[in-house]
Amino acid sequence: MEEIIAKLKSEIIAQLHFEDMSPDDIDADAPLFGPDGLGLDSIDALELILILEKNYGLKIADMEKGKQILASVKSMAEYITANK
Amino acid sequence: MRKVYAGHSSVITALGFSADENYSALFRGDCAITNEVFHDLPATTARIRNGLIDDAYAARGVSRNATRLEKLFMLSIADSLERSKINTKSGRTALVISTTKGNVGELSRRDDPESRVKLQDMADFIGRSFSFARKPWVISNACISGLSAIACAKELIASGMIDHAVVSGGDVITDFVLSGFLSFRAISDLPCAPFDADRKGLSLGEGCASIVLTSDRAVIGNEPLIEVAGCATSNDANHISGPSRDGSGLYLAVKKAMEGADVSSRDITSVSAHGTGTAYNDEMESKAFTLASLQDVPLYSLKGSIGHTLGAAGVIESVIAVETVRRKEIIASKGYVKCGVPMPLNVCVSSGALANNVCLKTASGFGGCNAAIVFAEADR
Amino acid sequence: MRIISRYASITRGVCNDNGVKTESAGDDFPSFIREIYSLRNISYPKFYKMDDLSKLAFVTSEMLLDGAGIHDRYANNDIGVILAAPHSSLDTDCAHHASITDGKYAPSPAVFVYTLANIMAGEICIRNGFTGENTVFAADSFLDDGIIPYVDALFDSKRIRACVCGEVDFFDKEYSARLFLVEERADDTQDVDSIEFNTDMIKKILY
Repeated sequence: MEEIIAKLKSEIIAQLHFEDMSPDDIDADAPLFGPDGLGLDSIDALELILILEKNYGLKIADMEKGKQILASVKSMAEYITANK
Repeated sequence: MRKVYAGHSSVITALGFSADENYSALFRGDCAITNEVFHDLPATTARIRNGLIDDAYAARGVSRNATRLEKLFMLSIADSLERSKINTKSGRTALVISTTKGNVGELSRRDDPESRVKLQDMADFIGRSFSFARKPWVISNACISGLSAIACAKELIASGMIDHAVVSGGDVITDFVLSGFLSFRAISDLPCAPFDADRKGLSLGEGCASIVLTSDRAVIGNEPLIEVAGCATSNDANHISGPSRDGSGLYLAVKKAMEGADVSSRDITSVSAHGTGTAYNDEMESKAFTLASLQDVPLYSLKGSIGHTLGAAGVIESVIAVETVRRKEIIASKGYVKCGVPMPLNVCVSSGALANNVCLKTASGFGGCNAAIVFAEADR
Repeated sequence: MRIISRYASITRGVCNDNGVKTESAGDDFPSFIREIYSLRNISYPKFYKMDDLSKLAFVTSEMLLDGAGIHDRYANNDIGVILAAPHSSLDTDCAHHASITDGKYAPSPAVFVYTLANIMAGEICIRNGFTGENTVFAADSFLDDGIIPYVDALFDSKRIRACVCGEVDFFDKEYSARLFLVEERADDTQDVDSIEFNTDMIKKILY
């Protein structure tokens, strides 16, 4: 799980162009969206779904379900683990 | 400032090859949107049959090699020029082209000069075909391009720099654009339903329309004369792909256009909205129109019939809006059954007669841009 | 009178900040634009998500507007952005095209959104809060037929009182951005050094 979390953090930084950030700056439990988190927007959400699809072969057809999966790095890692 | 009139329009969409044909089909409530599958993803589009374009083009006896989009532009502009009889060689007439992606379908062969992927190259090619003395102007401003092009031509005729303009907007459906909107999950798997509670996204359309703008009443000829009375653009200054959540940007454009036309919300008799069928756009528009006190004005979107025609939309939909003022009618908003926006609007559900003499046309697009134009019966 | 109160350009490794020129070592564009971003102490994380055309437009507009005090003089809805984009979004168009044709079909919304010429104007509006008139022409040059008269018409109709104007181009590793700020000033407030807003003066300072 820790491995997946670490990998996800790097992938998020790369795919979403967070060039001023390092993996240590991302709290795995913190919300990714909204004012308390990384402040990701709607395009970022779609890009996160692409990470799951391209790098982990997991397709998310339902955006409502997607919102729960994308809540935090941890919830994304849990989804990946559960669907390996 | 001189008044500017509009007329001699032509429209080509999946519904037909002339303004009359399109107007009748829209009034009847025809829908040109069909289902298709693209890379295993469901999509809805309103495509023009290729055979129809080639036949119409060949019928004109023009042998010049042109791309699919260029053929549409040539057919449409030729139609408008023939009826208005304005002289393109005088230098007092401008050609204003509106398009979002031009010949992007030719990107695979971009090193071939005949690909004309650079928008000005495409515009110059079209302009030369009609011997326009002035270099064509090209506006590429996402989905408001068509209204921006009309606004630009209007201002420069009013100022006296030119006397006439042919404003022509066109875009075609390509893998490039379809794949992009699918990546945004913006495309509905059912024909788009603007402002409806069950709306799921947009349907992609294609087409071309041309409209002649002029300061000379005689050029327009047939009464009643319709004036391009006021126009404005604005920016939400919020997000590059999501519209502002409060509608203030579009409201600003609407307010400025009404001020320019010297009308108030009480004078507006119909609204031709952008109405794409996406959750956010339609919601934003409902807020903007309510801010402008237009929530009770009969309103419709044409996209439920012809889809979102991008760079052509502003011109196609303006042509139809002008026609509704001329005929004193309103067109039903195809696909609307139940209100699905937070600020209810007076969405028209059946086409019919209407005391319609001042129409507001709006558009909004990626990049946070908005545009509004007031078309009014001259001498009202 | 309409004057050009400020101007800035970035072309082939040379920055021109209101007449003060600095040259870069001649690095590739990504390093060059990041260098200017850092040197100017700009802090705007969205910069990293922009495509090259928007990065170029954004950084040049930062140079243009830094210290201009534009918000002291004008309301946001009175400020326009009217630009020319000679190659439109062709550079990013090629990237999106490659993502759907080179082997696996993998379009990215973050790339696709930049396949429109006007997004760079949107970025400038978002950064500065400008809500006024905005139009992008896919013209060969800002000096082309119709554009300057259109800006004049917008000022004449009082739809704008200040305007970010110019052209930004990025294609096939060639890039140039030339921006200037136009303001309506009462005749008695101008001085002998005021640069009048017309084709000849624009050519003189920026081309």
